[in-house]
Amino acid sequence: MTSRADSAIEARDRMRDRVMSTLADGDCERVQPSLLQPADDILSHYGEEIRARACVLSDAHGGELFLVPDYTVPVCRMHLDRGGGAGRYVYAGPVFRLPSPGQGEVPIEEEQAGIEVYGEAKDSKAEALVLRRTLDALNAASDAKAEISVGDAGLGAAVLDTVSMPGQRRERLRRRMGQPARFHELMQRFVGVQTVELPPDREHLLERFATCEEPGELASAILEERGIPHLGQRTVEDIGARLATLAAERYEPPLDVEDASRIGAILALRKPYPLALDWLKAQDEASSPEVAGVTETLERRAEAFAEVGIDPAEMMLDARFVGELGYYDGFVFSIRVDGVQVAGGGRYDGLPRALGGDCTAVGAAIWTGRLAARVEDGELP
Amino acid sequence: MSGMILAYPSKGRLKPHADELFAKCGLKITSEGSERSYQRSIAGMPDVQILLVEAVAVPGLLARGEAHAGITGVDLVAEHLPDRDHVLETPLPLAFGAARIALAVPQCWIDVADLADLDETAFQYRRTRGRRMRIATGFRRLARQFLVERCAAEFEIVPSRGPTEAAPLAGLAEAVVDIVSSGQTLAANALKPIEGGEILKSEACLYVSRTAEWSESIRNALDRLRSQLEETVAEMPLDSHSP
Repeated sequence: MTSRADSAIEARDRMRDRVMSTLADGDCERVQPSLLQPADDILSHYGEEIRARACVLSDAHGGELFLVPDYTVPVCRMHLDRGGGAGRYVYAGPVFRLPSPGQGEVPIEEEQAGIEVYGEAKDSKAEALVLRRTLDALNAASDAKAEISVGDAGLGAAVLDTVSMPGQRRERLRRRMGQPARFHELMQRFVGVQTVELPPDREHLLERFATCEEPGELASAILEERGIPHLGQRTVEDIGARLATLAAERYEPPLDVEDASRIGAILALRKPYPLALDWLKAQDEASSPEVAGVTETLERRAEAFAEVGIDPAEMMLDARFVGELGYYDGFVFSIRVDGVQVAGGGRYDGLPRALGGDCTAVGAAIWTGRLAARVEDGELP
Repeated sequence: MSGMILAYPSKGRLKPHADELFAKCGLKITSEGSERSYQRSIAGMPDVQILLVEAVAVPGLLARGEAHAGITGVDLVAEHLPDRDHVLETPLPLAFGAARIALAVPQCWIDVADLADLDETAFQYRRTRGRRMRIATGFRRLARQFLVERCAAEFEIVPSRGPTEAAPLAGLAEAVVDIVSSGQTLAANALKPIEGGEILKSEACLYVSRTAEWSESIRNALDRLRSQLEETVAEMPLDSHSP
């Protein structure tokens, strides 16, 4: 006689199996990466949000290991170790992270299932396939309505490219694209609304580097002036170069307020996909080659969705959405059910490259544990 | 050993000040038997046995209940007993050993004045060299937690063997997280602290173990010792809080 606890576990297993077989749809290999991975190899490929909450352990030799916060990077590594190229995989297993402030003391363990598709043509077909299967898998688990939000990491970057600014500035804004508050703070600083006051000795130091032709030599001379010995791997050239860049930034004319507010307006875009596309095409920036390129990509993507029966009018396009995992570099999506995120995914061609390989990559993960808990509690149909 | 076991620093920067405090309290530490033994007692307190250990060993002893009380720094407890409150009672500060655990970088990094500078520098370092900047420290857990919370760049925490401040000169690390009091040791090794780089303030405290085996008489012995120390510490002027 099974107890109530047994049948809850069995129900979850069945849900997970339905999700997996829907994702696999007969053409994916099931894999099971280790739950413990070497930190050096794998952890550094995640964004800072994930790294900050990773459960890290030390091994007997002083090396570091961590418990997987997500399976995409380990599966990608596994695929490359086998030779790379084309491949489709599904997986299921627990993922771990430390609690955020206010979530208590206990590390959080959740069940995930996912799909990764490697080596297919770099067009929207694989993206549409992954999104389609994710929606179908969610349907197999619950009848609740899926709220789909999509973005493209290329959109923000293209918008930044329409404004002329020093490379360093562009780079710093790009790094903060997924963090609206910090992005805004940086923009304010570059516009000059928030001029940072520097301590006088720092200001004087930068002044000297603003007009200097040989920053490495100047840095070396300053060390001698101050009787400071040079030590370590950072050369006087490294030190001088950075000071020269900081000086250039400080004395560079501020970002135009008009430019800043146009960038802000485009990044604030959040509308149903077809309306968002129309709006984008109507902006001045749409005539720039970079943005035109992205809008074309977004249009072709909408066509690919429609071809697999997903209505673009049913999803929101969010210009700020770049995905929190840090390795997404193109199409990205997130699915919420009843306000809770239950699935996410996108394209991450840059990751195989960073791991020493070379193939396209699109994937998604579903938090089966979250879904199952809510279905069991009767919160979801 | 029967009676209350007090773990006491056998050497290092805390020992001379602990000796001075005990002397001020009128507590005379004697050795019964060989000078080479690590056991001592306090004249007039037969219920207290002193175990001489390195300050770094004290948190572990207290957590395992192998000593009833011990003298060590806030820094060592924070590093080795993150869940301190489960195994230790509220500590009694002893008005010595004030120091801070802080980041320090080479003085020749004239472009690095604060934590944001270090973060940016480390980020570029990784991009140009393909490896992470190394931070040498004996406070691995504290350093890692601090850097992960405050910096976007990734660092490699290198356990320091021997004096931490010598690591950059020896080419074992680019920067350090070390215990700093006057800053003279840093300067002597051509290092400097950075704005926003302070991780923790530390001082010496008397810690009491929750997990040790207590009896009424052992409790009484602790209370007697504790009130002696408390009285003397209270009488000391605030600026006698020596580094």
